[in-house]
Amino acid sequence: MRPILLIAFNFARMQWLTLLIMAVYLVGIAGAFALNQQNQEVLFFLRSQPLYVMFLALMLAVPAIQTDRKSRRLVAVLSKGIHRWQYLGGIICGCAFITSVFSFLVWATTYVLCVRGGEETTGLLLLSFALLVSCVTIASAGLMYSTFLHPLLATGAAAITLALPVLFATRGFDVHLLRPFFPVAWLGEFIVHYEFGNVRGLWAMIDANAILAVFFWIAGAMIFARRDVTISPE
Amino acid sequence: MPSTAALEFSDISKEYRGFFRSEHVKALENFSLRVEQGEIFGFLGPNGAGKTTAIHIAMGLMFPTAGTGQMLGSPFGDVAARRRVGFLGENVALFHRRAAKLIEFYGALNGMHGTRLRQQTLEMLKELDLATVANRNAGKFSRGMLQRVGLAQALVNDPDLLILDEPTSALDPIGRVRVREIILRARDLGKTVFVSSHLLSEIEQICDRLAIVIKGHVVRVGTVAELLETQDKFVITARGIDALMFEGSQQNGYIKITVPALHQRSVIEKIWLAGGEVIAVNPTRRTLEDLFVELTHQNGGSRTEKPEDEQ
Repeated sequence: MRPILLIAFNFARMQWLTLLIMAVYLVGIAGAFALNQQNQEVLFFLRSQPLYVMFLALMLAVPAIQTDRKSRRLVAVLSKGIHRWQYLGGIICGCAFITSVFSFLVWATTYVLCVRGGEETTGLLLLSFALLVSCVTIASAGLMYSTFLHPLLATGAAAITLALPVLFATRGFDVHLLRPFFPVAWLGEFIVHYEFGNVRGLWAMIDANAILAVFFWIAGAMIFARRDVTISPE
Repeated sequence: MPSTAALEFSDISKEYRGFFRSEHVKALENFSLRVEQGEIFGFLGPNGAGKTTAIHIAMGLMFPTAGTGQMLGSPFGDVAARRRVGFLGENVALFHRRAAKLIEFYGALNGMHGTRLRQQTLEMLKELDLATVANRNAGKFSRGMLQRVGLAQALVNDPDLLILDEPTSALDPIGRVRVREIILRARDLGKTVFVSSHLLSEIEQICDRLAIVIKGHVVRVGTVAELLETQDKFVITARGIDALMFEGSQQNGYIKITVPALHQRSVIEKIWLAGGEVIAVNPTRRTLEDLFVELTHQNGGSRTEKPEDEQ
């Protein structure tokens, strides 16, 4: 566990500028809404910001291996007494650290805005937790693809894998039965149609996301364990 | 029963393929090498010879296309074995953190913690003249200073086997002397050092044995003396004779005559008959540079495709 935490902390520390910019952005936009508060705007805030956090999770995870590879830092890390699955676990954990800050900020800002506007706050904490777990799944999927694909292709592959039902839905297919297998898309749909106080299905999304995150981590580790890491994947 | 080698490559081949499998580069071909425990082993070769590929395979960073190998008695890539190894890669690149924290980070990845880790870190900082910059961000260091931090992270776990790829590149002469001292001290402590370098004079000075690799093959391996001494010519040192008689060179009253091995006996007899005294007979010794250049030319020069240098 220690190597995972060491790599995670190191990864999160390197992303301090992203953390700062996103934190300022989230607090700033919430502050702007608070100046002339209207509950429909708060709902818009809640329906949009978590999607940005999910996108950020993908953008953090996908280039991580490639950056370390190109800069040759990966050689110094993987020449130590650690397994490759621990390295991947560290990156996923680092993404979890960063997205937990944003999930917390989303919860804290919407909570304050809801209390000020007299709206229902039940379920907000659970929603932010579901967001965090979903971000871990996204990071895990993105990282798995980036073990053997160029980051650009990995981003596309991860996005398609996680949001496949959304593509089907746009073609008019009924995708209700697919939801448990695509919990990220399920949560995305839940967020886009969120109403104050609604918690229906959140625990199922959390469970499904947690299982999928572990699945992608294991799959990524199995692929990465067989790759030459001093050569670019493209 | 033979003792366990510190590092052993057995018939290792490594082939790089292009994306559409159109381009093949054989970096190593049936590469076999054994490095004994407690020796300083020099690993030489022109650019693209496969040195870095071999080192990366040993560290488990790459996988061979064929063949096997062992490091400290475990298969290549074994995590427990890697904890006992100190590795400094070519063109070291480290995270942008304070030097002391960075060394601690790499030590911790090797399973070190607590007081031992802190003490070892301090010792390494002192040893490599980094104590005064311990709290500065390594990202802002010069190339030479970064190389020293790289060495510190390789040494912090007190390794049994040190694998150093160009350890003195970018170091000033004082830094080079310091690294040489560290390597020699490590050998005195019973550790094994595997060092790849283009600085031939340095290798010649410190290595017990060395191997020369060209185009993925080991073309010569042996002790420095074995490789540099030629058996086809001898230098006879004599005195009490006329230098002009033997076409030798005179130095401090001694005459040095270089003769082919075939004529060694007849020349000695001639010296005796002339009333002279033979002081010494030694095989001629070339420099490592001479041998390196000769072998490189014999084996068709260096390879221009060098994937491991372009990663």
